[in-house]
Amino acid sequence: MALKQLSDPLIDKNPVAVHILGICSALAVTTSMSTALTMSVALTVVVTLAAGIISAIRAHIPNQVRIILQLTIIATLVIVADQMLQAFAFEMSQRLTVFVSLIATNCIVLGRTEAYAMHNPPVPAMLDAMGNGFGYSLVLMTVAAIRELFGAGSLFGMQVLITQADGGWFVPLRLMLLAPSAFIILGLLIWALRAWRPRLVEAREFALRESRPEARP
Amino acid sequence: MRHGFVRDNLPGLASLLAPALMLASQDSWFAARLLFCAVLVIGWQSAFALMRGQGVTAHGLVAAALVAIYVPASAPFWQLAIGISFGFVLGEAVFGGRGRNFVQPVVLTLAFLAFSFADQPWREGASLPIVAVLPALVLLVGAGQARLSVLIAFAIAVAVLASLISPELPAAFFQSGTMLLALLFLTADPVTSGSTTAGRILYGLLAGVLTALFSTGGPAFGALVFATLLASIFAPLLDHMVASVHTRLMRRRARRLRHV
Repeated sequence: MALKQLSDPLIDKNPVAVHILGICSALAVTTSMSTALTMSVALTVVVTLAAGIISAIRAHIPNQVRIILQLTIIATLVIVADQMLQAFAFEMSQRLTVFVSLIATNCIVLGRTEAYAMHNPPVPAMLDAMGNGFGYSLVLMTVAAIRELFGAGSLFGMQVLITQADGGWFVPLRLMLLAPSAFIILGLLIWALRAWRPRLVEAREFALRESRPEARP
Repeated sequence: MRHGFVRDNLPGLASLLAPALMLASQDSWFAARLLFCAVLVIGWQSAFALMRGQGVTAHGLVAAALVAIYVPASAPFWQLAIGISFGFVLGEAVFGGRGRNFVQPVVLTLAFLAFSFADQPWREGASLPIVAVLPALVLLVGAGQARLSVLIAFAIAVAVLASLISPELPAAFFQSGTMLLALLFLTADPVTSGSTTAGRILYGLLAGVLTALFSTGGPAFGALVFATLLASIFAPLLDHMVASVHTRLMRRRARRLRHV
């Protein structure tokens, strides 16, 4: 049971690839793996702690103001995470610009606290939140690995493929460093995931009309 | 929809014959490039057609010839392979093949290559004399494969805007056949240029305005390609707007007739 809460959000209920949440930051921080890793760690810590705190006081939260209260707790944790980054990893916080502070508006965090932590005891709530954080991290790291490898020929800043400018053979794909490539890679990931797990494909909203002469063998 | 080689593909292939022969006489690698593009495009289209149980048409040949004509002669084949795979799989095949795509795959290929590889002059286009392109104008407009409404709206938008911001743009259309060929095959493509007449006119105007704007900051051919890409993304929205205005007018008319 406990393992299921942790492992479900990795693939089958992945917050980014299945629920399509948190796309904004997935686009912005995935040009290099180090920024993506920092962002993943920050989000996982924030969502886990927020779920734990909110779940612990869930019986005392008045129903009418619950969203404001959840946001206050989440925003407090985000500010703490942002300050920690500025104190101990200033360069990284400069590269991430506003995106760590924007965790407060990330749909995954509010979604988990509102949908799960409000109705479950602290330990399962934190496991569930951590699983979602890991699911987010998994997608972010995959996208960042592809973008950094093909866009700059490096992984975590270490040159893996030597570019033509430095005398090697590799020509970087400039498109990979631009925002549209994250959309395209995310789309391909979702395509691959749905091909692997057909259960995740939702019913068609519009049926395509197949005329008979078109469907020639 | 009826299919047939003579009706669907012959006008396109026949109108590309003159430009292709002209380029082949200047560049000895043109034939190899054309063959490479054709094998790749037909390969991707056949793979997806096989998966979906559809038939394969000769349309891929027209698209492959267009790519081969527009890319610079110095472009390495592996870059072409990446660009064509991207453009034809993500621009056409994943949507269900020709007729269900909303961006022109050749346009997507050229835009992808221009964004990805900075070392080649992708935005310049080939240089073709205007005479080589005149058969295309007659054949495509005659066969209904280049929408006349798009062409006229495009011409109006360019003519109006050119006097204001880019006075050298109209000359580019008369000096070189490349622009006219791209306009006929890419911008006025019947699949991606909207499906209502009013929508097509709006699409043509949008494409013309964007071309004039983009040509102030770069080669005219690149401006036309990017303008076509952006305008074709907006074409379904323009169609939707036209359809909803039409519904509202019809509803108002029905109400008026009821009260007469």
